[in-house]
Amino acid sequence: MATQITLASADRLYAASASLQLHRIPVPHRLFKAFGTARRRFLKRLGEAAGDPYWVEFCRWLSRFHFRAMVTPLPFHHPALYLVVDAARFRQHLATSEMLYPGISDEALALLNQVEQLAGTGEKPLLHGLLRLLRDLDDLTGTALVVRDSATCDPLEALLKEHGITRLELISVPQLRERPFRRLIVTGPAHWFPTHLFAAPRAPEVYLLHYDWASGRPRLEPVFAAPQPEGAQQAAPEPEAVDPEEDLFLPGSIDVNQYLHQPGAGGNVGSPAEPTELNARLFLLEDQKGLFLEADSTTLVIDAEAAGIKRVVRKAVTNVDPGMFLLVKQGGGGDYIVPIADSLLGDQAAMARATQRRWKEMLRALVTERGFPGARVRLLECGGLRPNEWNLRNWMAVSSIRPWAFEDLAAILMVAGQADQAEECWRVMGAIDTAHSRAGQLLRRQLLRQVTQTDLQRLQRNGRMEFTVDVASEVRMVALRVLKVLPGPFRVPASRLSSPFDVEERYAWLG
Amino acid sequence: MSATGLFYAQVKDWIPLPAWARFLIELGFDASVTAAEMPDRRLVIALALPTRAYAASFCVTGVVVARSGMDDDRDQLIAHYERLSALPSGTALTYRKGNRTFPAQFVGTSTHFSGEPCLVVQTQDKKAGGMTEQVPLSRSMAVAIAEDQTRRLPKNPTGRQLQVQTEFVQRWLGGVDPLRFATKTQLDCVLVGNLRDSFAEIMQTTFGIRCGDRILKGTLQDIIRVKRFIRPGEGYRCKLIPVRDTGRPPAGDQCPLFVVFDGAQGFLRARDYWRDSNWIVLLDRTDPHFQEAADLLNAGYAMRPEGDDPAFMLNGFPRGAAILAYWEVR
Repeated sequence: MATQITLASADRLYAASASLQLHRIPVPHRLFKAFGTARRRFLKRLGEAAGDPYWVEFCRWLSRFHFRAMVTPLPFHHPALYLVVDAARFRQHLATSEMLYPGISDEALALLNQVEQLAGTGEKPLLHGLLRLLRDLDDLTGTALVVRDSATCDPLEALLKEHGITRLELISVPQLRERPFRRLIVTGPAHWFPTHLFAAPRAPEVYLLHYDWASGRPRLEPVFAAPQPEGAQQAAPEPEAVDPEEDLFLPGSIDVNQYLHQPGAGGNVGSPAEPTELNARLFLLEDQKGLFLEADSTTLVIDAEAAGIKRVVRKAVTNVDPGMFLLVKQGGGGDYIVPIADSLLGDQAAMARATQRRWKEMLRALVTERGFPGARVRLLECGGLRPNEWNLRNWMAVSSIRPWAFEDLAAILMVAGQADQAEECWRVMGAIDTAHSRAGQLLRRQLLRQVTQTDLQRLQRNGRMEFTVDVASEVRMVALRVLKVLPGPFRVPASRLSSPFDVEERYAWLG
Repeated sequence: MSATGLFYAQVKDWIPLPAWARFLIELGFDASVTAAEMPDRRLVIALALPTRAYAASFCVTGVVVARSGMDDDRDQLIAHYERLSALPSGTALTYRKGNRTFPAQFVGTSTHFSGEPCLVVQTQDKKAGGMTEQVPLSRSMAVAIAEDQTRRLPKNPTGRQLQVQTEFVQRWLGGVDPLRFATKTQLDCVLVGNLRDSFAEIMQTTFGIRCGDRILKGTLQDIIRVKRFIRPGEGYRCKLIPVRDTGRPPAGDQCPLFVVFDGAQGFLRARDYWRDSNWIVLLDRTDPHFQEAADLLNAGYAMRPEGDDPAFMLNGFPRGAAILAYWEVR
């Protein structure tokens, strides 16, 4: 939901759209260009092996460095781009590449050397270009720098402050919807930004700083298939020679399958007896994260555009839109409610979870032994009310606390010869249920308190907010802005749901 | 009157309505006229704009203005009278007298002292006297069926003053009786959009029309008459369906002549509810769902029946915007 725009502001937006002046400022850098070319060649030679466990982290590191260096006016050696410890780690890792991948090892090491060399120069070509531009501009009132990678907003702001630049507003791409500006500054190739930056500009003047081998012209395609009135759309620019390197960063269609069957962070690929697949939506988030959420469920969101208590609400997953913020657990996947609930359970937690695991294992064993139809018959014989396949799959799932009816839980225990444990087990599952409910309420209350105390402009700019809950301070969570929703639906193993995973940089800027 | 000569208030100044805003009002007007010429087809118009702000509100205004002239139709008047005269006794009504509206009940028909057939309406609770009035056919547009059929008659019928800027409405709509316009219900348009934005644009933005050396003030609500924003007893011309409510089919069985989608999300969610209505779809190019909506519209355009596409006067078409217009068979 965008901020409400006045009629006068709307008029300024129409005026900007009608008469955009785009100033392109190419920036040379021979060494960085050579790195880009070498990287492209390397990835092409690797081919599908780029997804192999041996190469995936290294390739991602190279891509992240390249992407951020292309779009962010930070020095090559800035920690947001390059960490010595990472380079050292990869050097150690690549020590075995000669033996494992003899045909390509040299190229990989050469790339690593190039990154270290670039970082070693301490150069900051985009920053120099930006500072020169800012010096030439008379007045920075109403001027904003559009930061492509929201994660670099804070370090960039600090760096500009060191250079005496304090009146330049930094905004993220989603913030472009909010209002008109007098002037926008953009760093990076033109088509690495959403088309609307140039097709529906938020300022009559846009300055585009880009490396001279990258395209400085936006690629504007007609919106509608019908012929347009004369002078209506901005004319598509003449095609120009484009560095093929850039095509690696074109969004294209995200290959969801590559993320469906990886082990989830902190989770395992579902076992045969689990509810193997559920309908899910894929959310692409800031921080180059992806997240599958079950389509028929609800989730806690921060809606920074809403007012008051509506800022933190539980929404149907199908109603979560780009611009909203989703909560994910840091340092490992899985549900963030569980550790909070366990903190509330206190000393009981270990025993309660063990009890829960035990009856689920009994059920899995029954289904494995007899199949779903056989398990259903057996449970009915023992007094179960609704042991259909769908319910059996749900009851076995990690995310499910207990069956709705006591009789169904009792039947499971009776089959395992532990009918006398049924009442105690039901009581313990009730305690878990209550703890989950309290955890959800507590989380929402504390999140709301923190959100109302947060500088929302900063939240919108940075696209993320870290968060902890008092009773479970070891559980670190972060709210990440949704950049894009892929509604699918995708059939996703239950174990993959709610577990954030890394996505390639090229999908990170689909917002 | 046309959209030329309109102003909007900005702090203490009056600013002429920009060309893009006038274009949108006139597009709504033209669309309404064009759609009426081809009743066996439905019109689909889509615009890609730099911002969604005010676009839908202006288009709806144009649609309603185009259809406001229907009030003067004699055939409509007779049909309206006949409809009312066939109502069961006791049906709750709204009765306008001057600039006030009164709850009323249908009693029956009679002959006015002027010789005209007339409706007999009761405006006072029976226990307090049960006062009735005769409403001749020529004034029967002042009577409408009440939305709330459970409403009781007051003991002391003082009525409620209509909230309408009569001079503003009269100036904009020409020969239309502003009070009759404000009390007659005629669903011209459904607007699917964000409630907060629509409220700000329609209710809280002041517009002006020059009249000599004065500027007559009003809001778009004086023209559009959104049901959600009117007071009980007043007529409406437009229903606003918030996007958040588009997860379920709309209540009621009226098929509006036009549906205006304010933004991609409402269009994507709710377009199937109104497949028999004419559409105006207003897309904000910065909307995350923009491309998805544009793709759907292009697909519809590709499947359109053979024949000429509708053409519109495009004076003031905003540079940087894009338009798509085609017919579909009902």
